Amino acid sequence: MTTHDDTIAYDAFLTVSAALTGYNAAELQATGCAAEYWHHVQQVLPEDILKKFLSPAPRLGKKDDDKIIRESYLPDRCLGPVARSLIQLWYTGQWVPLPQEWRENYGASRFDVVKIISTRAYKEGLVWDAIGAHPQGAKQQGFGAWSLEPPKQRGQADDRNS
Amino acid sequence: MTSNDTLEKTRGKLCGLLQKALILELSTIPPYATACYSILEQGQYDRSEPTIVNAEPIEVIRQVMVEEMLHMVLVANVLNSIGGHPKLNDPDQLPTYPTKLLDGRGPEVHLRRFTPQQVKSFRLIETAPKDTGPAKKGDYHTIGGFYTYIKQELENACDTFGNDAIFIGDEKRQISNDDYFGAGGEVIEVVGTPKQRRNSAMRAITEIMEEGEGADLGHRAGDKDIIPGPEGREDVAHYFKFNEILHSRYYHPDDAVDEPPTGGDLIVDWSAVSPMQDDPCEGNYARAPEVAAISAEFNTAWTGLLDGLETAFNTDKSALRDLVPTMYIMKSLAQKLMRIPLPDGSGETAGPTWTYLGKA
Amino acid sequence: MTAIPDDERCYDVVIVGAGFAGGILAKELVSEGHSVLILEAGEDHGKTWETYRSYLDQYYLSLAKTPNSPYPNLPTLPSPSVLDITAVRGTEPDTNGYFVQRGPLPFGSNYLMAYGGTSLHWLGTSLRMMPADFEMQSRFGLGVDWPFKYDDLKKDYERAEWEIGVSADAVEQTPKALGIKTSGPKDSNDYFAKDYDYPMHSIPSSYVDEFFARADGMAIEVGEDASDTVHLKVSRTPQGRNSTPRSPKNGQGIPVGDEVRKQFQPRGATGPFAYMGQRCEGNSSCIPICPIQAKYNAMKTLEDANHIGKSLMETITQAIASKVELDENGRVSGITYKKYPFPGVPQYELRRARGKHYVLAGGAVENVTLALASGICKSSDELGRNLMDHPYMMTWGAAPEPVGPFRGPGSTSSYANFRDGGFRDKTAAFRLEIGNWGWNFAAGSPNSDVARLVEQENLYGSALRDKLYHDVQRQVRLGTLVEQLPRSTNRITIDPAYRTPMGEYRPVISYDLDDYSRAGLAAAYEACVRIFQRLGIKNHTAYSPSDAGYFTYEGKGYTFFGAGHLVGTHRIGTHKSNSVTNDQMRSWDHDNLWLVGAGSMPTIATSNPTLTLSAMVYRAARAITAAVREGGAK
Ligand SMILES: Cc1cc2nc3c(=O)[nH]c(=O)nc-3n(C[C@H](O)[C@H](O)[C@H](O)COP(=O)(O)OP(=O)(O)OC[C@H]3O[C@@H](n4cnc5c(N)ncnc54)[C@H](O)[C@@H]3O)c2cc1C
Ligand code: SF4
Repeated sequence: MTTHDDTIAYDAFLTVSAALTGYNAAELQATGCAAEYWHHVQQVLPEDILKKFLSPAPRLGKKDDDKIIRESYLPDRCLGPVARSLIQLWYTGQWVPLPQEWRENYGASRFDVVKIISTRAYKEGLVWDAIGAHPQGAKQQGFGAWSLEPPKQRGQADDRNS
Repeated sequence: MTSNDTLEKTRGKLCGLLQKALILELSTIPPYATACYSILEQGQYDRSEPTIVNAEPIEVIRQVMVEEMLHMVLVANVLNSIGGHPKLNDPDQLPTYPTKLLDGRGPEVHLRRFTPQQVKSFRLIETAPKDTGPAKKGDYHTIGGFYTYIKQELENACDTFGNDAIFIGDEKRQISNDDYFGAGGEVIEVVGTPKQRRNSAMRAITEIMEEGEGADLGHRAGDKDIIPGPEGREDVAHYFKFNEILHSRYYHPDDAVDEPPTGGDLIVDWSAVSPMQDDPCEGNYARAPEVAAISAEFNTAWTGLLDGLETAFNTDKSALRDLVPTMYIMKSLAQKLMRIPLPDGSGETAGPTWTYLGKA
Repeated sequence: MTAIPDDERCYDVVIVGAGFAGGILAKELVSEGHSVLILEAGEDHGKTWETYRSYLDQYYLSLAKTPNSPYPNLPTLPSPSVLDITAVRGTEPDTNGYFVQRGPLPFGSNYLMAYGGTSLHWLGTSLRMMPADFEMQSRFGLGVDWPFKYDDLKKDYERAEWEIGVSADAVEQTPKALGIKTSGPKDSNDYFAKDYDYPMHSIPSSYVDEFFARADGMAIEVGEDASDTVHLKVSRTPQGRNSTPRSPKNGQGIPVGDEVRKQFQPRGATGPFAYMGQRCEGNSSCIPICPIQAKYNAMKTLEDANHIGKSLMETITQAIASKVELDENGRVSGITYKKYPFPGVPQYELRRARGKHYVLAGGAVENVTLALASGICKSSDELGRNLMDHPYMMTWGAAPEPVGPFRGPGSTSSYANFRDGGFRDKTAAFRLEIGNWGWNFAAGSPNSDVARLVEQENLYGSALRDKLYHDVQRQVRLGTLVEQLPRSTNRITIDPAYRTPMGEYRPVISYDLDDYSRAGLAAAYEACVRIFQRLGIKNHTAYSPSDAGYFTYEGKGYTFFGAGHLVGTHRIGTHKSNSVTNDQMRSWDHDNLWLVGAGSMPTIATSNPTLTLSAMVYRAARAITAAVREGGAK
């Protein structure tokens, strides 16, 4: 791949990730983990599958994301498990290995093992933002923050995520 | 100079000076915070081994920042004690960067990532006046000199009009150690008899000066705060802390102030830093609405912080407590911005603009 | 057999173990001018800032974030882990982990072998005991009485609270203020000495606490007697973590022990700014590691001891005390220890430490294995018996609204109402701790929620995000800590068949819950259910016969875990026939040997044991000082 293609593929990875996670590309980059995850996914997936996985990207981010995700990704025997592992990677920083059956059908990778990708990945897991908290052991909220009202759900005014 | 008119004029002048001091302390916080947050924290750089680089610079700048906040509290206490009203959310007084401190007399400060150049400018901020003589008369170019002047003016005013005429502020407005805990030193309340108030006010200003430049500490780097531990380390003033970073070496408490530090190694890695653009501004996010949204969130928090301080100093002290969480929210948002590449392809990232949004 | 080389220096006191007990004792003794050697089996871990921070990294990267996860588990020095706990079935002991479990129930607690000991991952709950807890035999005809009373420990409690740095307000902490119907009418009087107060203000209550406080005032019956009915009250828990220091009233100082102390200075243990202790900033990971050392750990006290003691104070780490040796008069003549140069490599050099007095401070289990291996302290036959813990049972559910979990210290408040009362003649007392971290301990949240929603509920995108918020924000959990009575069959033994790679004896544990504790757990469960009903919390608690700690009581099944509160194995007492040491923790059998730690406590009651064991260390320290000054003669 040329550098140019690399950039396009990386952008496609962000687009697909954004559709799957519900966080926009800037928010995903704001975790500082995007490059790391992209690298990991490239290591785990055979090239043709990765290509297939990213191919709907140009159609995403418009009107029919839900249709695309529900039709082309989630029920797909090949792309479904990948999508589910990728969502969990973004949410928890932890790679969930693909099912045995998947590996038999599409190829195994020695990188396809359960692992928290890095300390940063742990801290930047989207789950903490989603649940309105902070990663345990990092990003402290300050003395007494635990007595404050729970943060509101996103999109419901007063967005106190951190 | 005995008429009420001149007393009020003097008070007005003192209040003006202290108000400037307040904004001065405030103006140093965004540059410190920005540099501090730009340092990739433990585990945010790519290493196979989770070693720690720059943990110490982060701690040093954080500690300086904590002390600057304490200074704001101290200035507010003095200002309140003489019947003034600390003002923190007046857009006309708030800094935009780059800015020259002390109405243009002091050093210029930028919002920049953690670089040797930026640390040098921090060192400049914390430089002690060479000779306090001119400063006492109002010819100051350093923060230390400015406080020397304030102190002198306050002394003069007290001598001229009497302590009881000067310290007329409501004691209820004084922030105490119970209201504010910064782990950065003691909060001095300006309370008691007029004489006691005068002493406390002087002590408060002296504490600010000592923590900053360490001007009054003789020829040693140490400020006598002992750090327990095998080496019995002493804390050093801000100026020297920045020198430690620039030299990648700690001071020995008995090191002479004009010599480089000779203590143990301090690890600094200037490359483990987010490539944040200098002096970030909103304009750069015009074509990136998703980034602008995070920036706006940051500025909302900053605005909340300033409004909160205003409330704490003027009406309700308990507002201080909620501000600590706000600061951590700002930190987190600033770090998010600093990881997002700018759409211009420069390779630089976005950063916080520290813009006060005004009241809706 | 080749001769074991003696260490050159002979110390006034040799201490085994650098945890709470060892640390406080060392600080007290060097302050009195005695020379002290500490032998610590673990690595010197977090002693430097870099290592401390690397433990944090290890924590971030651990898939299962158990109490011991940040700290290395060395083959040279295996530590018990909660992951090793399985049900004990059949007649064969379970040897999965470090403990050899004989059952019938598994002993689920753990501790940490490292410089600083278990303090590195304790939670910080610092409760005093109740007056009744010292008199279980006279008041209820159960267990034993202590050889002294609550009042006799009061000043030492004060000292311990100021050493650990406990945040609480005395007015909120008397039995009466806690809403306890004490079994003695005067128990609440003078619970705190006049003018005494804790060194720092209370840690603020969590939002979760406030939610539970909506049930305050609700009547709950315990036991059979209507007069035992309590009225619920959420109360804040005294905690060993930095808060805002209390400024003494009118600049007078606060009376602590026999001194008047100035304002408390919060401190950290390692790092360039350790002298300016940070307040708890809500990292929400106190178990297993506080990133900013706002939570007390024994390294703070050990650092003080080094600072005060200078050349009087010596610590040897990676040194496993292996045998206590006696001379012909039954006095201890030395402790042989295995010094291993490389963590992880089971090779060592055998050496002997010498002192005038010797103190075992290795924790309630390790003190016993060492003493048993050395064949000492035999005359009462109580050594290793009466092992107690707080069987820990969780009850969890979904609140009707967001309550803001996963913020702040693990627990900031509890229902202390059930800590004493007339019911205690038949039903064990207990405390209901309010958890601040959702179903983290109970169900592995929030990671398990992500897995469930993605893998089973087929959610993605903003629907996933919103459902996570919805579910996790509502997670609440209560933890029951119930008391156990001393039972001679709950015990630690050793068996030559079970040793570590270094050749040390592994603890062999027999453990069970008696009906007294089971009744307490059942009553607690009932109380939790009622609270859930009152607050509209949907009960999600699930106990399964396949759980390692599953047990039944009156036809119903429950699951318990260990609390890490290991107590009772070398209890103090009034006579060499009923106890291992006297009330100053001096061994009955060996004049210059002392055993300190929670193993000294004759009963466990409902308070987490560490504050009490720390207070008792002051008692021992005074006696040891006197003994050293007398030159060791009785
Ligand atoms: C997860 C958890 C949470 C807890 N939370 C609380 C709480 O909130 N409140 C509370 O009161 N208590 C709590 N505890 C209990 C508390 O940690 C213990 O009561 C306390 O640590 C006991 O102190 P100690 O000094 O006796 O032993 P430890 O702290 O265990 O220290 C003993 C030291 O001795 C060393 N040692 C042992 N044997 C040898 C040997 N043969 N040679 C050399 N060195 C040796 C060990 O390596 C260790 O460093 C908790 C425990 C756990 C596990
Ligand atoms: S909540 Fe965080 S900061 Fe506070 S004690 Fe626990 S780990 Fe430390």
